[in-house]
Amino acid sequence: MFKPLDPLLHSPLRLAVMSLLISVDEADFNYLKDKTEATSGNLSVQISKLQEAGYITVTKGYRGKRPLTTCKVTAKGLSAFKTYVNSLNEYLKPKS
Amino acid sequence: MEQTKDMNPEESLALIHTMINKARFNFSRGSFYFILWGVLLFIAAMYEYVATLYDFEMFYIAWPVAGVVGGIASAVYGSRSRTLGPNTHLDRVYSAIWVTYFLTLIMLIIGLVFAQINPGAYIMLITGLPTFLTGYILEFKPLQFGGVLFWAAGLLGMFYPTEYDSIIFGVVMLGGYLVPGIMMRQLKEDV
Repeated sequence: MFKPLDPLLHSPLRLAVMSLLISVDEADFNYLKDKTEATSGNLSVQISKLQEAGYITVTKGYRGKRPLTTCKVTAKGLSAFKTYVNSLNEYLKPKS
Repeated sequence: MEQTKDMNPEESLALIHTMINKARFNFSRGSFYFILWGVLLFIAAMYEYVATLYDFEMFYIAWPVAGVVGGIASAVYGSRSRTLGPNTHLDRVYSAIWVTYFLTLIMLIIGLVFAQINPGAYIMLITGLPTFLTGYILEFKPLQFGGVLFWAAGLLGMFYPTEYDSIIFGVVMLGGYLVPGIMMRQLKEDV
């Protein structure tokens, strides 16, 4: 019996954001936008959903005079990501 | 990137792989330090050779000057390079290796200078470790060769000290730091 995939992560943009964030200490909004090639509006919405789920933290501040939004994966997010990857691997295992 | 597209498990794993690859170590950023220190220490070594040759009183002055200039330049670049992208886990490993090397180096130099031993060969020997390790972790052969060059020159320098030690030190800095640094910069790719 396969475990259901986490619907929060099983969506391209949210999965892309989480994959980037697990690779770095933290990342700002423009970096995520550049790497995912998403629109600002779409990215903002998906970041909010991940934040509401407690998978990432979002900090708003400034770099110089420019506003800066920084995202960081949480322990809950990391655990959910691991579970998601394990579930994917289960799906891809050859059936005996 | 579309948000509504339905993904199968293969596509999900491929996406994760692609994104993790996009967030890897920034080669261009790492090359700055090798080029900077390669040039500074080469100049300091050449100055020491000439100053010793002509009996200048402060023949050693280029070393602390190079250390201060390099330290300030590294700190300024390090703080500005935050805008070039976030720190990856590999960046953290890279920093830990070089910070611990630097601390060991300072203690070694202090000890050797107090014992009135020329630290050149020992510095090269210990510099082989972080240089080779960085090359190994990044899978970048020129730095691995640089590390081996430091080890070989350091070992030979301890057994066969010569009046040309400063020149040898300078040339090894070119081969161990500057050349790999330039090659790193030319890659302009992340690994």
